[in-house]
Amino acid sequence: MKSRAAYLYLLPILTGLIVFTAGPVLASLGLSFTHYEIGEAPKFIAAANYSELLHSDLFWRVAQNTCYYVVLYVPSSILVSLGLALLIEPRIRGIAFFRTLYFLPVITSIVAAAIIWSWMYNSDVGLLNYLLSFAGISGPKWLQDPHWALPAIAIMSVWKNAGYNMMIFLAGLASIPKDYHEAARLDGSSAWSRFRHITLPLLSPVTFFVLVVTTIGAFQVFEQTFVMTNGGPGISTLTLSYYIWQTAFKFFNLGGASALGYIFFVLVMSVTALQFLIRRRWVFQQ
Amino acid sequence: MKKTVRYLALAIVASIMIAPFLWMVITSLESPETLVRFPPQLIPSPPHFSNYSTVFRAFPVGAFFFNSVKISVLGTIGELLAASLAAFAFARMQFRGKRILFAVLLSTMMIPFQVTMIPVYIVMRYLGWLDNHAALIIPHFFGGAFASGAFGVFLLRQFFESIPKELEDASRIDGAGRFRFFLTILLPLSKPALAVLALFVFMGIWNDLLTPVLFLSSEDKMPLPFGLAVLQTVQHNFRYDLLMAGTLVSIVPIVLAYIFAQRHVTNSFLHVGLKG
Amino acid sequence: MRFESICHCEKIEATEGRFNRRSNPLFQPRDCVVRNYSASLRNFFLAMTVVMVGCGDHHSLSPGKIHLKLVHFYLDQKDTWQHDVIDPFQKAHPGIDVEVEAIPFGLYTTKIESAAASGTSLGDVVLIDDWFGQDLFKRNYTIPLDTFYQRDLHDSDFFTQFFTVWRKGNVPSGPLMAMPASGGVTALVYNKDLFDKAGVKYPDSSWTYVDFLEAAKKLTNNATDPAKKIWGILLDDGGFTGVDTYIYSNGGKILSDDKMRSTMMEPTTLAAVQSYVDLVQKEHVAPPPDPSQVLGQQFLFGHAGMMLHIDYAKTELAHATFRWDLTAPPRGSAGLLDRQNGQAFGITRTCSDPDSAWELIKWIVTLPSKQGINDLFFSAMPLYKPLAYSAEFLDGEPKCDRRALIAINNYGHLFTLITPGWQEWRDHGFVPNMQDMLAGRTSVHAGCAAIDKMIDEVLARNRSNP
Repeated sequence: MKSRAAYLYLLPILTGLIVFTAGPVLASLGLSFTHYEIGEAPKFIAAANYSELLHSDLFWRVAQNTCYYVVLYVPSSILVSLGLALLIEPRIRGIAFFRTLYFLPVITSIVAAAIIWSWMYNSDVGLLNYLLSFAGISGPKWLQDPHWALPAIAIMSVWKNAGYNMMIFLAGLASIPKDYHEAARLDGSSAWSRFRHITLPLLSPVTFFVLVVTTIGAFQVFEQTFVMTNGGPGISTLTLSYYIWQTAFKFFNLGGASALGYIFFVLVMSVTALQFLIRRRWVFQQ
Repeated sequence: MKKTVRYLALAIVASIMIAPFLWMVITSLESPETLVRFPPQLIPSPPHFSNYSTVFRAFPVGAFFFNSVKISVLGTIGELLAASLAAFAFARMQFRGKRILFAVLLSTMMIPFQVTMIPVYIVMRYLGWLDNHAALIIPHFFGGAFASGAFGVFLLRQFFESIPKELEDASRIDGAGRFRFFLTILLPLSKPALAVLALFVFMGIWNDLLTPVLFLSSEDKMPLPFGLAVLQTVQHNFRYDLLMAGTLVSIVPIVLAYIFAQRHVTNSFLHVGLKG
Repeated sequence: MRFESICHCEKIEATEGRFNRRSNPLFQPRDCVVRNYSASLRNFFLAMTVVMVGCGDHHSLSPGKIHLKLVHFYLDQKDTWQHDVIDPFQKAHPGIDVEVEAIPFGLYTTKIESAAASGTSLGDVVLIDDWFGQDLFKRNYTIPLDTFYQRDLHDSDFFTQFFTVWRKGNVPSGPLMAMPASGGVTALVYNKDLFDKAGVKYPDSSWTYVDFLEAAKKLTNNATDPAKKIWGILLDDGGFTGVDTYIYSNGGKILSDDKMRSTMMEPTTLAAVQSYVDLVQKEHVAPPPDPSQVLGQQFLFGHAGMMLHIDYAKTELAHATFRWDLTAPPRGSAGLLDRQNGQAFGITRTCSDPDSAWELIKWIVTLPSKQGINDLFFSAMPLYKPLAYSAEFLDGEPKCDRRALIAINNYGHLFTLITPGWQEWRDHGFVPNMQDMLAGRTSVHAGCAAIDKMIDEVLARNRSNP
C-alpha cells in the first residue's frame, strides 16, 4: 500500500537534503570542472582537474595511505567494541560504573583527545614509551617514524571510538531474546557455541550497520592528522580528507579540491556498495 | 570464578580507557617548569591550580558554556525530530522511490564536508544567518547542514524495523491513526535507540569547532570549543599544562551531563526485550 | 508539561470509547499522553520561535560614523589589542567605530576563503601572515598601498628589508599589497647552562659555521638514555626557517632570484644541503627531526645546546628552567643570509572607505599611544624603528639580546622564499623530503631532485593560472 503521507514525514529531511546537500553537492560538482580563483568568476577547464589528480603520484600515495588506515582501523575497532560490549553486557554489580568509564573517550572532543595522545606519543618524554620501558620494550618513535605514525593514529582512534560502537552493540545484544540462549543452554551447548550460532547471527544486522558507518567514518579521518602530524613524517599520514582540506584552504585551489572530493566520494561509495552487495552472504535476515 | 575474571578484564580495560584522562588531569596541574621533566612525575608537586584561573581568565567560560548548551540542546531536539520522522517513513511505509531515496540519504554521509562547506556558507549568507545561532541550530531540524541526519535515519530505521508489525496493526484496529501510533507507541518503545542517538548527536554538536568558527563572528556567540582554540592559538605553544586545564574545563560539563543522562539510558536498555 | 487531570482522561475514554483499556494491555492511558504531547509540542514550537527570533543579535550601527572591521588571529591577545590599540585609536578618531573579529590561526585562511568565495569580505583591515600572503596578493585580495605609504610614511623609519615579501610576487618591483607591521628573523638560540657545563664560549655575531660545528661537537655527549642525552644542535626540517638560513649562508640557493624556478640541483645548493644533513648523519651533533613534537621541544627540555630557530622562540622560552639567550646566526661562505618572516595588515578590495582603513593601519603600525609594544604581534619586532628601539621592546620580557637581532639588518641580508603556492611546495615537496634526508631515509641527491621537481611543478602551475 503506497502512501503519499510518507512524503510528509520525510519533509524535514528532504528539505535539508535539497538545501544543504544536493544543492551544494551539485554546485561543487560544477566547481570541480573549473579553475576557481577567489574574487573572480570560475573558469571552465573541463576535466583538467581530474586528469591532473589521477596522474599525480602524490594523489595515489594519499589514496593508499587512506586505504591503509581504513584497513587498520575498521576491523580493530569492530573487534574491540564488540569485545567490550560482550564484557559489559551482564548486569552485574557496578557495571554502570564501567560503562560510564568506557564511554568517556567518546565524549571528549577529538581535538582534545588528539592533543593528549600527541603528548603521550612523544618519543622522548611521552607516557607510552615510558610505560613500555617497564616491560623492557623500547617503544618505536611513534609519530616520528613513517612506519608507525599511521598505526599510531589508528590506535588512538580505536581508543576514542570503542565506547561509541560498544553502545550500539549493547543495544543490539539487548534485543536478542533471552529465550534463545536459555533454550540452547538447556540443550547443553557451550558458551562459545551459543555465541557463534545465536549471538553472532542475530547481531549481524547491527554489526553490518557498525561496519558501514565505521568504514565511512574511517575514510574521513581528519582531526587526528590536523592536530597530530600534519601529514608527516614525510607524507606517511597524509590522508584524503586532510589533503582535500589543504588543497582547498591552504593552497586556495577550490576547483582541484572539489574534484578530489568527488573522487573521494566515488571511492567511499564503491566500498559501501560492495559491503551492501555481500550483505546477504553473512547478515541474518528476519 | 568467571566473575572475578570478568571484573579483572573490566578493570584492565578501564585503566586503558582512563589513563589518558588521568594524564590530562596530572598535566593540567603542572607548571611550565615541571612539564618538561623526565621521567614524568605522577603527582605534580606543587600542584599548579593557577592554570585553571588562567583558563577562566583567558576566555568567558560561562558565556561560552551557555552558548554550547543552547546550541547543542536545541540542535539535538531538531535532529531527533527530523530523523525519527524520516526513519518511520522508511521503516514502516511504502512509497515511490523509497530504496533510491534511502541510498541517496546514505550516500550523503560519504561526502567530505570540505566539499559542501563553501556552498553551504553561501546558503547561510543568503538566508541571513551568518553570525547568528540560527545557522547552527535550525539546519538540525532538517537533518543538519553537513548531512548529520543520515546517520540518525539509518540508526532509527534499523530499530524501528525490529519492532513487530503486529503492534501497529493492533493499534490500527483500535482506531489510532498512524501518527498517533508513531508518537505514543513507537517512540516510547524506541527509547534506547533515541537515547543513544540523542547522546551521539549532542556530543557531535557540543564538540564541533568548525561550524561555529565558520558561521559566527562575534565572540559572545561562540561555544566552548572556541575557548580551547584560544588556548591553542599560538602555533607552537608548548603550554600543554594550560591546554590540558582548558580541555578538562570543556569536558567536565558534558561528562556530568552524560553521567546524569546515562541513568536513563540504562533504564531504557533494561526495558528493551520486545521479543520476550 | 502538565498532565491533564485524571478526571478529564476518564471522560474522554467514556465518551469516545476509542482506547479500550481492557482489550489491549499495551494501551495505558495514552490518550492523555497524546493530548499532553500535542499541547507540549505546540508550546515547544512557540518557545522555539521566540528563542530563534531572539537569536539574532544585530549590531546597532551608530549613524553618521564610519565602521571598520578589523580581522586578526591574535586570539589570546585580543584584550591587549582592544585596550592598547583599538580603544586609543577610537579615542583619537571619534568618527570611526572599529569592530574586531579574532579567528583561530588554523582556521584563518578557511574563513577568508569561504567569505571571499561567497562574495563577502571578512573585514576591511585584515591581518595577513607571510605564509599565505603571496597567495592572497596573487588573487588581488587586498589593494596596493604604495600611494598611501609614500604619502604618509618614510622608508627611513622602517626596517625596509622586511618589505619585499609584502610586494606582489615577492620582488622589489611589485606593488605593496599590505603594510608590514612586524617581523622576525632566524636566530641562534643557545642554552647558557649547557655551554657553561661544556666549557664553550657563548656564540656571538662573529661566529662562522666552523665555530658552530666545533661548539656543537663539544656540547654533544655520548649518552644513550634519552633522559641524559645532550645534542649540540637542534635542526628544523624546513618547517620553519633554520634550514633556509643555513643553506643560503653557505652559498646554496633554493629558488632563483626572480623566484620563478627551483635551483635545488645547483652544485652549491647540493653541497650546502649535504653539510646540513651531515650534522645529523655524519657528525651526529643533531637528532633527526620529529614532526609530532613542537619545534624546539628538545631545546626546551634542556637536551640541546643550540638551535637555529625564528626569534619567536623567545616566547616559548619564557618559562625555561635554564639560562638562555639568542644571537645572530653564524656567517657562512656567503655571509649572513637570514630567512625572515612577518605579519602585515592589508585593506581588502571590498572595503568601502580605504582612507579610514589606512588611518587604522597607520595607527597599528606606528602605535602613537606607545602602549603594549612588547605584547602585540606575538611579541615579534615592530618594523617601525621608533617602536623597535624603544626601551619597552628592547628590555621587554622575556629578556634576551634583541639588539643583536636588530643589528642583522645592518650587516646581513634578509630574504624569504615565499611565492604563490609556497605552502604547497613546502608541505609536499620541501618538508617531507627534508625529513627523509635528515633521517637518512633518502640520499641528498634523490631528496633534492624530488624537491626540485615539486617546486617547479607548483610554480609553473601558479604561473599559468593568472
